[in-house]
Amino acid sequence: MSETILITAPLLMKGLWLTIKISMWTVALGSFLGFVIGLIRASRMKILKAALGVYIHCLRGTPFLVQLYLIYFVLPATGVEWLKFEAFPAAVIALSLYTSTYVSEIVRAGIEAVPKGQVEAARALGMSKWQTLGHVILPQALKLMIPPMTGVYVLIIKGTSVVSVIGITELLRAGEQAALRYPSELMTLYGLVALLYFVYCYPVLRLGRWAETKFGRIENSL
Amino acid sequence: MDNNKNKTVKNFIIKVEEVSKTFHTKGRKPVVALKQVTLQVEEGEVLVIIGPSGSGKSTLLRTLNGLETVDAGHIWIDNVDITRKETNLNQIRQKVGMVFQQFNLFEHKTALANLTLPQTAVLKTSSGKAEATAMALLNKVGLEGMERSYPSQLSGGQQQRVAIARSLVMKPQIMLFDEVTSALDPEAVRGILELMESLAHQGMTMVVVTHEMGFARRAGDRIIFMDGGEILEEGTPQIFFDNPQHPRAQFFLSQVL
Amino acid sequence: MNFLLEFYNYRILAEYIPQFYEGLCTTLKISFVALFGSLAIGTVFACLRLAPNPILWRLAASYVQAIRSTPLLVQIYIIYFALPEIPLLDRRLNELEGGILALALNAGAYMSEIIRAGIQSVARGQVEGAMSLGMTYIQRMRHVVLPQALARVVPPLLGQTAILIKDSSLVSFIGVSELFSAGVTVMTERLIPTEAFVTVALGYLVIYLVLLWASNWAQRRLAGP
Ligand SMILES: Nc1ncnc2c1ncn2[C@@H]1O[C@H](COP(=O)(O)OP(=O)(O)O)[C@@H](O)[C@H]1O
Ligand SMILES: [Mg+2]
Repeated sequence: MSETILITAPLLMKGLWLTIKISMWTVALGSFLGFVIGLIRASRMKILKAALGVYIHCLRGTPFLVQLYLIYFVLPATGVEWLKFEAFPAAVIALSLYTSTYVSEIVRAGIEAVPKGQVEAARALGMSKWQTLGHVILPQALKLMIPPMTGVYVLIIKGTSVVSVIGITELLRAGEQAALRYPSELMTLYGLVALLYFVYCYPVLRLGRWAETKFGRIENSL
Repeated sequence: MDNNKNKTVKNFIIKVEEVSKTFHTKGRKPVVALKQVTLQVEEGEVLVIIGPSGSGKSTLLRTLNGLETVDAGHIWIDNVDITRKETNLNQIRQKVGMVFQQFNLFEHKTALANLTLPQTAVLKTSSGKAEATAMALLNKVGLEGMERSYPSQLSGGQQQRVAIARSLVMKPQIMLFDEVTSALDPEAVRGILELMESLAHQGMTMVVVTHEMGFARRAGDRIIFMDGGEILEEGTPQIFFDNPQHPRAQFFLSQVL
Repeated sequence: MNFLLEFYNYRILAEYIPQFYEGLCTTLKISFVALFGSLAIGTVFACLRLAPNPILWRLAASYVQAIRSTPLLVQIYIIYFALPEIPLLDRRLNELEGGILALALNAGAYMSEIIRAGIQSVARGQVEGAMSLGMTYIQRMRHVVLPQALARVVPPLLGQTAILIKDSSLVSFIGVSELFSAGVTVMTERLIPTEAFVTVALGYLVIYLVLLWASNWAQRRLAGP
């Protein structure tokens, strides 16, 4: 048993590294995209808001697996050159779009949780819209966003396991390959894979809990 | 009321003997809420407990119907020791009504249903009879026409009236009041105090925690002053208010009067 | 019409209506069974989480944490590939049973958190009000706590159900033919990924919209006065 672990360790570590890489890219891209969408959703741009509402429902209403296939198989079929992605960027883009819906709703809820009086006080002092946003709303809203945001990051890490299906040898697929080589150690190997995911996710979950006790929580229905 | 000592044990409907209680909260220093508190209440008596906030008044009151357990000492309600494990607290609580500062009405039930539920569930009254009792009591506390309203549709004063009526449906022998007017506006306070005074006149045994000194003087048979979990002074309203002995009681009265 | 055919060839697709229909039925069936399993698991673990016994609630908390910090796909693989023979069954779980079990165990953890939050959201004063009237534990739960908790819990539970249905697409990885696999079949047999997956996406979207509507309806109905 320990022998199998030793032999397959390099493979699993490489898989873990790829999982970390995909999740980090997605955290950056998905957070940015979600932040912009969330700002618009909390604004008074009616048409754009409604359009983004449809975007969010479409992504929330379909499995991530289907979205991944749409981006990896369907977009290239349109024949447009720049819509043909390699597996890695396809995975990051699909995961980022998927995450952006969660991030945007958190950002919107965070902004809306800041009392109206804060905005009115800032505007009464002659601050511009953007000054109010930057100096008054966001500093208060950001704290509230930390706990639910950690939940999204855990969602991203777990979501990376699905991209194994388009041929990316991340942690789960590395585990599968190891299991193919040592079928008798299947339980051990999958257990090990689960443990590695746990080691990656659990601290993030704890961070969220800690932030929740420190900064409080916002109602954020999915 | 000074001749309490001469009465036999039987006449006390509430007896509290050397009751102590300490709260242990994780990460904080333990709080001694009650220090060897001893007191008795006669049938039909109105006992008013006053004292600064955090002095243990609520804790004492809540031990009387077992909402709070005690660390040491004994409490007898109608000659039943409720600090014994074997005692059925639910039976005791049917005899001891309690009204809270925050009303604690069942939010998902109408005023009427708040009064019928305890009758049908606890007393096993038929729903027709329960409803008749409930309607009569709601009328008595001045809430005609409000039966179908939910707590959130009622004002604070109205909610507190429902809460008092809800306790009364159980036909309790004793009523406990924990700062029942503290969450109300001045207008409503007067109405609730009048309601409590009329209950007192009808001979209800009452233990009342309050900051309404006027009420304490008018309706109280006896006053207890608490601080730091101890009873520091005890006497008739007249003696207590006109001539407080303990320095902390003097200070407290100088602050609130 | 020709333009539409080029983008979305519904004529080829029409041949596959039976596959899609069967896939949809399987997806709904799996989700339905897993939903009941997860509600049972969720209720039990929510009660364990609120139990005064520290061993019980630590056990329940560990379960929830373990499920929340590992991907569903890994859980599916472990339950399907790595689980040995089941004693009473005298055989290993087939892909349908394994998939349903994994989905139920996974969703159960999330459901238990929702149910626990619902029970805890009932104010302490409500329980004390009931206690002061002499209600027993069972009476308090039945007449006061659960009715109020239920109203707050139904909308998020419907949301979690929508997630469960979407997640059920992952059991296609262990060979269950459900809605998503119907799409894969069409793509590999006829090489029309657009038609295949846009159709699948629409199928899931319709289910989601129905649940969204139900959740909004429940929110309005159960909100009270
Ligand atoms: N459930 C509790 N847990 C911890 N400490 C408590 C609890 N209830 C009361 N205390 C503490 O016990 C002391 C007495 O409280 P209480 O009886 O509520 O005072 P009062 O009603 O006179 O304001 C206070 O210091 C309070 O903080
Ligand atoms: Mg108090």
